Amino acid sequence: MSANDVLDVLNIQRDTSGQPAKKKAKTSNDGTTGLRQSGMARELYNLLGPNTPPVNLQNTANNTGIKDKWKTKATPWTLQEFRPTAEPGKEEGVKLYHWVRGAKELLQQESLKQPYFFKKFNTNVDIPELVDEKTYDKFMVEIKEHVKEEKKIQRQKEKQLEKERKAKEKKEKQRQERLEKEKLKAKEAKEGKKKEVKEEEEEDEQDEKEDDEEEEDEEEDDDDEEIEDNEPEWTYEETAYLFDLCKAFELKWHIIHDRYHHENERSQEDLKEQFYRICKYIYANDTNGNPTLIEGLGAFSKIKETERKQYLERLLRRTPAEIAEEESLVIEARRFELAAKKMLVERSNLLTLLDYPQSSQSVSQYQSSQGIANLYSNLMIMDKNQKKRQQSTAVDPIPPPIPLAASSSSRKERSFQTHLQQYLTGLVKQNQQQNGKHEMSAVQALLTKRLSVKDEEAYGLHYHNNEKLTPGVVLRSSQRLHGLQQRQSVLKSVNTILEELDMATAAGTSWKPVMPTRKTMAKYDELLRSVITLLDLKRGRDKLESEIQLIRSQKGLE
Amino acid sequence: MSSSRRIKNVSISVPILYGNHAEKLTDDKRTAITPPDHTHEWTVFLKPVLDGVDLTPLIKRVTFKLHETYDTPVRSIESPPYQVTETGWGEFEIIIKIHFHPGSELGINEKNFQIFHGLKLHPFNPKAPPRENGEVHSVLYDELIFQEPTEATFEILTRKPFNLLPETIEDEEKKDQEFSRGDESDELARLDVFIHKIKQEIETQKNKYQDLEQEKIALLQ
Repeated sequence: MSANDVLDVLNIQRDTSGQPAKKKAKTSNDGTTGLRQSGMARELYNLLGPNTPPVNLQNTANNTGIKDKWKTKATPWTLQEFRPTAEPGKEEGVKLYHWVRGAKELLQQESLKQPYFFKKFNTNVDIPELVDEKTYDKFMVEIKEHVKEEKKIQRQKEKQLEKERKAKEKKEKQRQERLEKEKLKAKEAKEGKKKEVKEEEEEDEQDEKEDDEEEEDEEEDDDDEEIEDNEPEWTYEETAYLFDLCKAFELKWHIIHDRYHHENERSQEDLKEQFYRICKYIYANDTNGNPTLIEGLGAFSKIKETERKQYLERLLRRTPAEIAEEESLVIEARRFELAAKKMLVERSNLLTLLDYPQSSQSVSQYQSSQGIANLYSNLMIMDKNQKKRQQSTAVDPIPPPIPLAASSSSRKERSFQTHLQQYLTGLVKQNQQQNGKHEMSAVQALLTKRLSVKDEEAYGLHYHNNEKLTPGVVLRSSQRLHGLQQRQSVLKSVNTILEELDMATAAGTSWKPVMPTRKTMAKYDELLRSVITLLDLKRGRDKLESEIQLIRSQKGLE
Repeated sequence: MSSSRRIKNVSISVPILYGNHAEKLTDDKRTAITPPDHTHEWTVFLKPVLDGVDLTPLIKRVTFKLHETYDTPVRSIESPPYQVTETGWGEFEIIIKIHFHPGSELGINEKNFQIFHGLKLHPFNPKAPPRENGEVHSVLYDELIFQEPTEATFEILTRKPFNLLPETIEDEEKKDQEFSRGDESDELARLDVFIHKIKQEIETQKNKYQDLEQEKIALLQ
């Protein structure tokens, strides 16, 4: 913006007397034009007038350009061998290199003085050395005994539980039998009492015998189990192999298990169990073993580990339907909790209301003014008490929010479905809630049913997958076409083009299908689109033609 | 009931016919109140294409807005057939307005809808020869699309298959008054021809364009 513009805007007539002043300004400013002006300063500078020289934008003061950089020498980089072990004799396998800044000679000198930079990253897992075979055998014997004891304890527990259960069952049985006998007694009362006594005794004896037999069975079962449980025994040599692998792969169990090639097939849990228990014994026999570490090693339980993995497996293999069901159940449960809490709150409110004095007495005592004053003060005191009590005791239970995980994942799930599916599932759910009361309404039935294309046509039904629909009524012939703008002009040009190409168009303004159905309109849409591309092409061609003419005329002139 | 809930991503259409019939006003049809300058008798109408289709559960009434020079230019028809018969001498645009049943308890919940029809008294199609008796039929096919209909609307529109148009029309006389599936396939074929022609034209234009481009390059060198 120049001064002229400002004057124009302000409607000020420029008088000639102003010019000499400007000249002065110009001359006075000449000395400073060397300075770089930018931003607001430049705008202000421009306001001085039309005759001021243009601002010198070139910065000549300090000439630190790229040129200077070209002249400096590049810093040398050397390719150095990557030495993870730093032991010169032990190098094997892949050789890796990396770039280091600096000349080769300098680096070599430095490497003698300083420790290798990457050495500190080369760490090893602390794994105890395996003991000799004798102590190993000793360990194994101890382990076996320990395992046996544990199993025994467990089995005894199980047995006890079993016995308790059986005892209960037996009691129940006996009670029932007794009841039946009493009935029989009533019937057989006429036949005499002696017989019954005998029968009872006999039955009791039978019961006892049965008990004995059952116990014997159980003992036999125990023996069987022990035989089944036995897995291929860990020899010293195999354990040593395992320890080597553990060291080589730094306790990365999946790799160890993958590389484990031995005559015995072992699961990852087997390997872990053997390694941990042997380590535990090694540390326990060591004088300076860390007690917390030993405890930690002993905590590994193979059964629990396998169980955990099974659970995880099952969790992973759930079908989407199962997941959805679980989530809906969680939400349902939450809803129940909320309802229960709400009810509790309401009930407590109700109870506090009930605490108010009851007007069982006659009204007459309150008819005098003093009586009313009395009543009023009484009520006030009651009210205060109530409030205090509420504040101290009843903090309103805050309903727990629905877990975020559930809601967010369900949202994710939802985005996969189309709106229609959502709608349908919503309907189905609704129906389940009102189970039995309603039959499915016709709408829902029709929607859930899979209609054939013919049926859909007959009903004029159409499912729009990803189009956005504006709800409401439209006429097919004026239905908005997707992605077509400037419809009017397009239609006009379509008409002219169709006429140009000698296609029969009904006399009229804009040509349209006579019978606008979904199919014809789709075709019509296609036609319009191709006409538009044709128009674009023609426009491009015209442009090219005029360009060529221009070039020709230029050349002709030359 | 949740019947006013809209069904997402679904549209349902009803084929309709609208337009007018017109014939010359003969002397014997003139009554005492007929203005002497009226030359034609015409009937403007709106109806579903299929005779058996009943739209009264949806449509409360249809109004026809005639030219202002008529007595009570807005004629309201409460029940089918939705049509108005009048006499006149000139052509004008008639606004056909469909009023759907209001009220949230019904759950139809659609706005009133307007269709414009230019009244035709004289033969307008140069290809169709004018009839000897001077009858003029301007019947237009269209479809009312209910986009994301409410459940109530959907229920009404699926009581019967409304879109079962006849394959052909037997009555030769009525060829220009009725529409069939055959007409649709004819139209589709015609459109296909058009599209094919346009595609060809695009091809030739493309070739020309490429030629020109090369010419330009040659010129520039």
